[in-house]
Amino acid sequence: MRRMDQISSAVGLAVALLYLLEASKLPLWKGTTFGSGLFPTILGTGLAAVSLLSLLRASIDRTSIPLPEGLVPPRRGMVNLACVIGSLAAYALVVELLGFMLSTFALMAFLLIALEPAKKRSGLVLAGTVVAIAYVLFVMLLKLQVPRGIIG
Amino acid sequence: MDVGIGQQLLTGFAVALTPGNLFFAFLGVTLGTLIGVLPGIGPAGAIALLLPFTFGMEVTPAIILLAGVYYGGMYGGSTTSILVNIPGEVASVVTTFDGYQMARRGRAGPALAIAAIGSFVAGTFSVIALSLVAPPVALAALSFGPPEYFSLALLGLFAAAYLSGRSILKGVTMVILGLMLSAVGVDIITGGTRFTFGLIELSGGVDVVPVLMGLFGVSEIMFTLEKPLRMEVLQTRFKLRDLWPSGEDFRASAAPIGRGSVLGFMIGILPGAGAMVSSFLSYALEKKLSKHPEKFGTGAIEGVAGPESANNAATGGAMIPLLVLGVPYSVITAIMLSALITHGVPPSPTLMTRAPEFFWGVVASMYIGNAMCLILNLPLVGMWAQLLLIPYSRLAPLILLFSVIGVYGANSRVFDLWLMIMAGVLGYLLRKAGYSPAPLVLALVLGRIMENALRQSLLISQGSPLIFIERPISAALFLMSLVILAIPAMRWLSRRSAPALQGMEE
Repeated sequence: MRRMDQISSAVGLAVALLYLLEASKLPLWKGTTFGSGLFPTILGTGLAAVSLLSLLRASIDRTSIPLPEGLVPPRRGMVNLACVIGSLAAYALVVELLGFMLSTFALMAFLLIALEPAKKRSGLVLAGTVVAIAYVLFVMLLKLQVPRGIIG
Repeated sequence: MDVGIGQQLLTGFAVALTPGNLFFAFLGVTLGTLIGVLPGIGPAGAIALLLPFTFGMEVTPAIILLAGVYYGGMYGGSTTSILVNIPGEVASVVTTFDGYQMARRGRAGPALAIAAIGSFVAGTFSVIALSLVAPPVALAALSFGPPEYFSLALLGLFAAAYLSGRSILKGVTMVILGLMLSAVGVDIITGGTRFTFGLIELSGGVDVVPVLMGLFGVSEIMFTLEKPLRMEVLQTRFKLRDLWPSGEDFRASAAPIGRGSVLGFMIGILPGAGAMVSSFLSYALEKKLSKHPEKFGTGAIEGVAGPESANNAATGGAMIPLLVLGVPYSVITAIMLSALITHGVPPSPTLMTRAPEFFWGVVASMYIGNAMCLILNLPLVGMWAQLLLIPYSRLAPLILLFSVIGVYGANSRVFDLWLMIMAGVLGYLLRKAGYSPAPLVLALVLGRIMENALRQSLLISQGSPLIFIERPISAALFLMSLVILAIPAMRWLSRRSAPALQGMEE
């Protein structure tokens, strides 16, 4: 946990310094009023100070606050996480190309089958049903704007 | 009750009892109860999910819907806590201590019934208290200027940081990160862009909805899916007569329900506290006052009655800073503030006079919604218990589906989907490292208000920061913020000096 705190504090310090670098390009004064750079400069300085304090504390404090959960999930868990993030990223890449219906069906089918591999057929049926209901509810009734894609 | 308030409430009921608003109240409490029952997404995530779908609605039914989800979620969370020993939402953690033990002894029915009845009494009490307290608070708040609003927001953020976890430094880090995100986009005062890195999508700022869905939706799903979720439901079928508590149960629960109602409402008003803190405090109070504290943790009905009442009463209290001051003190009310601003009804002390039909309509709908929740949760509890049999592997994709539809549907931008994904991964990593995302969200919503208040204050004082301590209300709020920061520092110093002192004594 101390090591984790040291790493996260160092990351915080790096973020603060980059933020301050970007904030230095903004004016602190604009005529007779404070400029757009004031608030970011205060925030960057604050984050740098807090990160330094955290780093110091993590380095010198022998009493360690335990992490709420295990750090590394089990193998099956990591596969699940990869499926969720990977499928969402793929969805973002293809939704405007393939359109709402196709890409959403693919997303649902993939997730339902990936999370419960033993029930492929029911996963496909459920995916189709849910996408149809979602189309009726959100597109036809609520008039949500969704991409039509290659199927028009 | 003041005649003025009475007449205004009648106006509110006239608004709330229209078929459309009744429908949305019912929809809100049903969705809220559903979300509260099912583990994996809490009321905050649910409200964030629904937020984009309310943009096409009128403001009154939109807020009635979201408020219904809020307090409906408090009712629903107790069902999972009692039947499965897994809290349906964070505020129902305490109910697992004794509620589940009651269920194991075959007393699930009375536990569920007392939770529902206590929630109804407390919810109704908190709405009455809201009706009475809001007008004088609004009157007092009319004298607030930019320095008071800045100090109020600062107090709320520091309190959220303090209560978010065991390390205030981590909480403050999250607050500052949220404020940094709020600074992205066009500066309202000067018109220049900040931190957009040439991306046109960021010129309007970082959209709250994708960040919320990522931090509270996607990351929550990731957290739940990383380990196998096994749920053993103790009971799914209930006869109405099995639900009814005995006379002894009612006698034991009456005082805890009363105390929980008052405590919950007061805690709900305070910055950073909310339903979870109120339920824990209520449990501690009941255990302290009990003649048999050793029974707590083994199935004491007081351990269910008090906390469940407190977490519902807190929802009414939380509405006061939101609707009357325009400064939300919890993540859920911060999301509702986004909704109000988007609908062009920014809350402030003048909201009651500026839009009385909206304000009293929402308050009146909370009376009605509480009654609906009691009906949904008592005789229909068996239906909700059946839902617990749905595997999470089937629920998670559905939640993700609604997330992507909601996020994309709000602005029709793929960029928002990427923002949601990044926020989801960030939220997951932050929680792994012991950081709570709640202060980040609160700061993201409050950031623009705070910055404008800061710059206006410095304009008034011609650049002098002493304005924040020269005005009495601002000074008091500022001092409270410093006290909140000082408490953990003093505790840390005393922990470090204790071994040294012990050494000296030896």
